[in-house]
Amino acid sequence: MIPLLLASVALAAEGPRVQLDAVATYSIGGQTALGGEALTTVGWKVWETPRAQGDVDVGLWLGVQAEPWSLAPWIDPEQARGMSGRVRLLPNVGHTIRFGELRRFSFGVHLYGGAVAWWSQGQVTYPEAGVDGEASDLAVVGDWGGLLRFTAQPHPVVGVSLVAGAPIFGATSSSYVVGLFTVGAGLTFRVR
Amino acid sequence: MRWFGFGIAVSACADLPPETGETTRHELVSEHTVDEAGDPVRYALHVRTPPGYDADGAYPVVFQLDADFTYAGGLAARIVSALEDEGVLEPTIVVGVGHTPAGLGSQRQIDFVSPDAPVPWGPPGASDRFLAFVRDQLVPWIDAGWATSGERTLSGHSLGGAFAFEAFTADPDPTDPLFRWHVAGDFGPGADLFAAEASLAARTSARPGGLHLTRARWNGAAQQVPWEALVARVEERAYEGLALGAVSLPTDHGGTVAPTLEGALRFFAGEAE
Repeated sequence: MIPLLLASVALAAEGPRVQLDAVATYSIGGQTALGGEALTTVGWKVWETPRAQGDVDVGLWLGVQAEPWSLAPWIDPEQARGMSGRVRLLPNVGHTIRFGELRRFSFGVHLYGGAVAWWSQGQVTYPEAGVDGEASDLAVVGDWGGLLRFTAQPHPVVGVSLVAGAPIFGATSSSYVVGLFTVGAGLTFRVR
Repeated sequence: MRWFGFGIAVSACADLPPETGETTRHELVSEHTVDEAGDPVRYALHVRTPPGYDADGAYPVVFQLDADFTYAGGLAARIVSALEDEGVLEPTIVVGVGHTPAGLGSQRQIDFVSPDAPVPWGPPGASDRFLAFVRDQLVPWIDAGWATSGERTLSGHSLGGAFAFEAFTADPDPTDPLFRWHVAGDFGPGADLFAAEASLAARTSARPGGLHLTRARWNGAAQQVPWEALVARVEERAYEGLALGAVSLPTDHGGTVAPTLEGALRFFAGEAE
């Protein structure tokens, strides 16, 4: 065990690897949302074989999701106009396996925990019923869950990234306001 | 506009003690409702009698719609059991009304939606038929088989909540209602429900009993506006004899199921919101 720890410390001493992903996302929960997310991780190599290496990562996941009511087919656009949205700030930790001779491919598993700011705003009109009103609401709630990330980097700096994340229900809330099941695709950049 | 938000029918009864009493399962073939193929609908009924049930007694009855999931795990029975133990409720019969085969299929969209309501997909609503089944067949069948007092509560969630509200407005004689208490959980009021309420107001100024409405806050403004407008509309009527309760719960669609029924039964028993 001690040699393994010493080897890990030695590998970590090589300096961290900094990776930035920018992805477009589709999310579903109570309704559906489109968004964009940035995921930054700093990873330290903790084990290595000739074919692969393992990094311990800490990161920050920042996301914006827009949930226009037009994406909900059960909401009549003649009667209701508005949208909901989220801003997510989710620190995370995880483990990433990098493989291939040049370590150009990776698969990571992360746990995240942070906060989601949710808002909803819009107007609803039923002329025949004399209903014409608008409302807005805002809440900040805790969120935690899991994130999978796959990257392929044919270029030393730029590559493609696929992410999938899901909240863990019941811990901070049973609610889908907290987080949505999210998949995304975009680019990954090796910053350092 | 109907609210069709997806929700997780969470087993929010984890904090509740197990149900007491005895639950038996029955089936009743409707003489009024039909499915998409035009065949009579077969309903699954879960009838829970309280501990020490006396066939010569007289018990109030809570009818819980959508029993396929709201009764899963005995949710409604566990809530009633807990409230009985607490002394909030007197011994009460619970009737869970589900579909056979079980599931959240299109039948609830037929049964719980008004023929006047536009539906974005699926078959048109026929809540008038389901209401006829409840009034002319289900309630008499329960009254004939169990020792009931005539004091009835109707509880529904989502489309079932919309139906519970529609039933609140639909009695031919509103001063002698079939259900004295109505629990309408997390539903999106469409223009048809405003019309139904206006029809009630045109017929009576008195509506004895109670009406308790909830919504899930996380549904957002699309539901908030018409829901608050409907609550305000009923409030403005000031129906004589009506106890009106309305709560926006900080949860999602599925998360309202248990707190809606528990909160309503507490409210009807006289507890403050």
